[in-house]
Amino acid sequence: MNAWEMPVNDIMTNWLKGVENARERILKSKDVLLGPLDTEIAKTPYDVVYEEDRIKLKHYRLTSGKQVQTPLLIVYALINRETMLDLQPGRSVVQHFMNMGVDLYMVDWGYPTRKDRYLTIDDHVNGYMDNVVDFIRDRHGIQNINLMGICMGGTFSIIYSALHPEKIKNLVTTVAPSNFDTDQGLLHLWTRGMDLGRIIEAYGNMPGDLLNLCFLLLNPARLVIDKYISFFENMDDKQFIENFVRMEKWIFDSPDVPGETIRQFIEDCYQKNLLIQSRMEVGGNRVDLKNITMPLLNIYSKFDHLVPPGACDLLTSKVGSRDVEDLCIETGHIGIYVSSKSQKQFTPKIVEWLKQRENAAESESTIDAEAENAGRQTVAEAEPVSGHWPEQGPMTGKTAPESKASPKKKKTLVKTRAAA
Amino acid sequence: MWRAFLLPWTGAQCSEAKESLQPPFDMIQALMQVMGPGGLSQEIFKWLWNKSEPTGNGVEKIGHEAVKAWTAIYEKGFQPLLKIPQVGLTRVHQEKINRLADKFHAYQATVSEFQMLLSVPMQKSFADMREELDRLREKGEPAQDFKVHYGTWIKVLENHYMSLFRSQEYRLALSRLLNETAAFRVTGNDVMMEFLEFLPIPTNREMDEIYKELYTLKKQTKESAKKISKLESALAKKEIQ
Repeated sequence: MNAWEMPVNDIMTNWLKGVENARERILKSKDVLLGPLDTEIAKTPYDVVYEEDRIKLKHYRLTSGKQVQTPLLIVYALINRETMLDLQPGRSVVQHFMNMGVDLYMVDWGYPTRKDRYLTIDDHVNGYMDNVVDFIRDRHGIQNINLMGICMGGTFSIIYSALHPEKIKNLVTTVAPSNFDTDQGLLHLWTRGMDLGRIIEAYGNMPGDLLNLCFLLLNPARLVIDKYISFFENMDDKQFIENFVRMEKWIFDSPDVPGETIRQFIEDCYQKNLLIQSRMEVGGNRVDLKNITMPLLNIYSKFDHLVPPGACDLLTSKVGSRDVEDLCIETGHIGIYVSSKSQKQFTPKIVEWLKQRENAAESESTIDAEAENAGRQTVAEAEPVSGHWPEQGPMTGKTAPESKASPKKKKTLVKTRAAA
Repeated sequence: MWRAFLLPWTGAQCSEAKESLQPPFDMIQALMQVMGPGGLSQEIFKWLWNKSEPTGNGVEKIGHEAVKAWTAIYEKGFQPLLKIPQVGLTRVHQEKINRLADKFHAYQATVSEFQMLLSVPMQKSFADMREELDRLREKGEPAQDFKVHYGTWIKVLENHYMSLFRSQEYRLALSRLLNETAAFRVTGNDVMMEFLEFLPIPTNREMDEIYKELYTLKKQTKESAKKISKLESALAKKEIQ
């Protein structure tokens, strides 16, 4: 026996001691895996109230009295599906909003096919999104609506709000990248030298599987190995398996992304970082962030490996709004929506924030008073971005670090500490 | 090189590498007999075999060297054959098929290179764990529970991957992989379309032309519809007034 074998033998002896337990677990897992499992996602009932090409507008039926009068439209990313917001009963952002009396609409981007390869960001923002917003405004007979964007959908929402500020009452961005010149996230590094035009030429659209492979490669140790070890260790736990499978269903339900849209997104945003500089052009119009004059709540995750804090925290200093708030939550990119701890605070925070701004005139004075009282809070140093997905954790109650590059603004920013 | 690459499968130990480098039978002779006397193929095989040099390095290096050696062999031995000018009625088709074969090789080589790069953190993590276990043994400490060691290993592995992913080397390899994948796919599509043209099936190229026209027409129609709708509502407002 050599020196190497000795400790390995010790480990294996220890491991074998647990084999009996493992055997029992495997036997029990047989009952779980072969038995009935509830792994359905997106179970909350809704009506499709508007359809255009491949996209649908979902409207969720209110289960309680309306507490926020202005309807809220959620725009999800083109990557993966909006079903993530309604992954499982009790941990559903959609249900939380409904329970809190929000009249909720959500865009379902559908599954792009090859014929959608020529659709640009302009077609999504000034086309589909604008039509959806107009539809909701007409339906409710109102001038403007509340808009919440998620990830790439958040970027679209920023662009939309800058181009059509008169139609948006309040803007909520969640893990929405706006500043792409950061080294915090691997995607930001990887896309710099990438020639996406060749991929688009080859595939027409950006294949969802290829994107998924890229996302898995962001942290193979956790996402390819550890995750499934954890699955094996909990095979006898029915609830764990159900939730695990729900997450798997969502993660690998990846529509292709229209070729021209992703090409423009990568080139103009990731490679040239035009959006945050108000130099991006969409549909022939410059996206000037100063046009975003409505209240803005900007939420992002501290341990987000896809959209790191550095990609989000500049936005509030670049928009034209006087009423802006940053909120950094100690969780990951997906954990912000699905972790039970985060959910207890994420949705209530948004609803409370919207309620405060229901009456614009009233909120104006409230905000000014808040601003006077709160002022700018001391900011905490961001920790290194870990690769956990989903990362679960409590809200920090800290505001995000401000970029040194952001100019000192005369206007008051309401940078509050989250009421954790 | 080739002999060294085949070493793990011959069962020879490193110390015996020199002695065991000769295959158990004269493979080159046997293959030459199969291929027949003389000819280009035999020359290539001879060259391939003689190109090999024993290295005696670890599996990682051997694998890397093997890919590099094969690429060099391919570029000098096979690629020129694929680039021989084609003539006659089937010239265009043959050229496309040859180009596809060439792109396939480039794609395979890049995939191998990328896979090898991805395997480096794994090897490093095992080496780190070995050091950790050696340290424990030297201290006389008993080995921990399997789960504890697994937890340590996965963290070490994660860190090695993060270092790799942030390196310029990885970014270049990833770019190359995507470019070669795209190039192979485009060339493959080209060949496929060449064959599809013999069948009563529209090709992607033809469909893309239609999609482009459809896209443009739809966009124009939608814009016109919006303008009309605005005009109508403006007109209605005027009428009310």
